[in-house]
Amino acid sequence: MKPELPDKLTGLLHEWSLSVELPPRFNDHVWRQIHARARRTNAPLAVRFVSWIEPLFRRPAFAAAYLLVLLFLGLSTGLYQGAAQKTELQETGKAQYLQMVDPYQTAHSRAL
Amino acid sequence: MKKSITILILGLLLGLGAFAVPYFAATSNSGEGGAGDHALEWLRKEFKLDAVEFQRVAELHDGYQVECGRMCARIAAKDDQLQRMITSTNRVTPEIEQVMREKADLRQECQLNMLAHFYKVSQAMPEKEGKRYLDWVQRHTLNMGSAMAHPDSTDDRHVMH
Repeated sequence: MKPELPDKLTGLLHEWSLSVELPPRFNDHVWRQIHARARRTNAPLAVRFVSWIEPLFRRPAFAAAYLLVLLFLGLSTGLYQGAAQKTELQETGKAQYLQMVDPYQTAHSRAL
Repeated sequence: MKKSITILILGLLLGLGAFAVPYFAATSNSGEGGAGDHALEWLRKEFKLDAVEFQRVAELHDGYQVECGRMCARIAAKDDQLQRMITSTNRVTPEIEQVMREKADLRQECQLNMLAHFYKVSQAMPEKEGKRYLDWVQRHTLNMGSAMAHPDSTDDRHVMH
């Protein structure tokens, strides 16, 4: 429901007129923006995502920070996973060696 | 738009590359292939063997494997025999006693073979590493301390590093 405006305000709004001159084709520009926004809202997710990141990546500081963060994440994960995998391989090699030289360990593991 | 996508993809590739380099550097040359390759590769690294020492140890290992395989078959056969005898009766028979004695003799024979092999391998290593190998392998195979020590005993760290 539309709220009732006080009579005084209604009168002022009717008398009000724009004192500055609008730029040429102002209305067209406004409508173009409205259409563009509507198109973006209906666009596929990928397009909307790119539209979202584009202004971010235009800032060199953000782009550099993004690259540095991924570099750091990749390096740290690689170092950690590599060390864990290396330890696991060492343990496997050790266990396999013992099974190969000790027939009782082989018999035991076979029984299991 | 193209520039943004390029930076996005470049970042992902950079992250993947940064992961792959240390990961593969740490896990390369870890003895790809069969179980024997893993085991011997571990032995080579753990006891810091050079090419000549490793060659000699690998030969000893291969020779011992033939004997070890035969011993495994005899142990398995004796275990099966004993198992059948145990389940076929409800008391300790003279036959069970006999097979248990044979089993104990077999274990002794096996351990003597193992010990002889361990001495040979340790002599093919540098003196210090040979002693370390002998200490480690005896503790893990010849029931040295296995009755008392937990398998994950921290003592192992002192020997291995």
